[in-house]
Amino acid sequence: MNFRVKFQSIRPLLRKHLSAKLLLPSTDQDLWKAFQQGDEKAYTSLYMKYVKDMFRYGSSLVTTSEAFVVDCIHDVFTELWVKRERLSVPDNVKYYLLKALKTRVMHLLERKERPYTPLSELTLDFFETNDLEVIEELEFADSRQEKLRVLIAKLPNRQQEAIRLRFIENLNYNQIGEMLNVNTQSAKNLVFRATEQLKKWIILPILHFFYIFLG
Amino acid sequence: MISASFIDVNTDFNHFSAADFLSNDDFIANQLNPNSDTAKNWQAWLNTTPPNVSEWNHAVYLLESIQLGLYNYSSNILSDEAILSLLQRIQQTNNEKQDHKVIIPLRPWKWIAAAVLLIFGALFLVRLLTKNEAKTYYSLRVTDTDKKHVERINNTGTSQMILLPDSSIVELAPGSKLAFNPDFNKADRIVYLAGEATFEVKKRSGRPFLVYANELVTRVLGTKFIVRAYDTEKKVLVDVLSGRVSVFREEADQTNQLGTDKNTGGLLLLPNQQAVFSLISEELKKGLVEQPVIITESKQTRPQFEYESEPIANVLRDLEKSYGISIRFNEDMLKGCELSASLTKESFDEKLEVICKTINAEYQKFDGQIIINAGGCN
Repeated sequence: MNFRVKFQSIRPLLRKHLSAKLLLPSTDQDLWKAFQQGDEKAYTSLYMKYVKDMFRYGSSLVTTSEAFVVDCIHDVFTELWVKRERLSVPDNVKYYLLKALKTRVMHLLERKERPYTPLSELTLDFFETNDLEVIEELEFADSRQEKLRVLIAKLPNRQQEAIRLRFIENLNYNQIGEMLNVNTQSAKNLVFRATEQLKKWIILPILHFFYIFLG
Repeated sequence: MISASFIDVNTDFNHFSAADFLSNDDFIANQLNPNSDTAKNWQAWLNTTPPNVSEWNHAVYLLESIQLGLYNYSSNILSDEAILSLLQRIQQTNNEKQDHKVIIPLRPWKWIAAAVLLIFGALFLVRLLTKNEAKTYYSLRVTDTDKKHVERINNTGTSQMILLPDSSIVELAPGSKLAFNPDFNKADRIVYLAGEATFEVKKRSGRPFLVYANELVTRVLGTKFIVRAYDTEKKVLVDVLSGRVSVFREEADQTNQLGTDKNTGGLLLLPNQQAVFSLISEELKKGLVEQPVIITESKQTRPQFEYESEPIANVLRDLEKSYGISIRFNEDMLKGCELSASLTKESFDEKLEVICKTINAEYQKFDGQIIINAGGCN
């Protein structure tokens, strides 16, 4: 039986290894405080550590080109630098940065400075979960990964965002609630409903087809 | 702190469903990024042989499946070059903000010089653009419409990946241009192409994807294909790599906006098929791509092409199935013909040649099919 997740990123392990074995002052909070003192190296380390996570999360919020998300990341980091002396130290730096990025992205979209649409405003018709439609789309998918992608794409957008934040970005439900402007329990409910739906499709052999497709 | 909260709610876990586990921070944190404490605690709980261990297993399996399904998301990685150039931009902005008090005043004659330079520059640019782009199909389509288009031009020496707003992927060949409407996602999915590009189109229910290139329209739902339409060439090529693609002339499209199969002169293409549209004769022909590839995805069902006294008809059916190219032959005449050969590394054409030599036949490509003429074994 397989108890561990296979897709675990190696980065947290590396980070743990570095801080434990070499006793480097490299916790996020230490870096943050150093950056607030004007330490450009610490600032750059934080950037290098989280820019990839910010980019993929930012890209998932809008239907857009790479350039728009990159611009938003630029704005977040330059604003941090300007305000560095007035900032408090966040409990979770990654959450803080993702939240700041989302705020920036949404702000620009509301000002309509960019010709992009937030995903939440897109037509809802293809997010409605119709089992027949799911079956039809699954026929086009030729790998297990692609089939799972199709199933997840059928979930409502907010559920998708919640499972990305919980299962890939490893934010806790409290933080996810903050990101989505709901309370912790509602954040849990979003993921709960998403997983119940996926479980119906993936595990329960109610829809016999899926069992064959995904097995 | 984590282990304390774990003990507090320990008893509840026996009633947890799979979705309950996946709504629990401690469970997920331990799956994503375990430390020795959390791993020990969960192992201890599992050792008590809880009644709902199958729910726990389902939760682990679901989590793994969800992560696999989110692979497109998690693998969307910014390139190292983009990371470094963004860092430089950030540092530059930070430096500019620090130096913002230093303003260098320009003298009047410098302003005049700058203005003159600007005017000449603009004139030069306009001439350059109008000269180069005059009269090509692409420039007419892209500048003619009221809406402004987002344009991507590949001036580099290598092909460029472009992610469209609907997350379809385009690999644009050097010297090629692609344009699309900024409202791409809300309206029809239409792109204009000059040059060559490979499209990997995401399927969207009820929203076809259309490529306009030199009077030829290619319409798809979700597939992978190549369009080659250089302004300097007198033909347009469409190669299908996977899925189904319909191709028709632009006039046919305008009279029949929906692009249904009734299109006059339209073609339906399957993988490994190619449409060639000649701009001179205005003929649209179906053929096979130059290098057909095996289209069956799974390795288990893919034939090995290792034969030991195998009836020729079976070999041909293997070929037909793996490449999705229909092969016509007279089964009666090939009765008793057998093949003993290993054709694992040969291309489609090489395989056909070996087979035809064995049975003294010749083959022809016609209308996207293979026709095997005569032959037989004594």
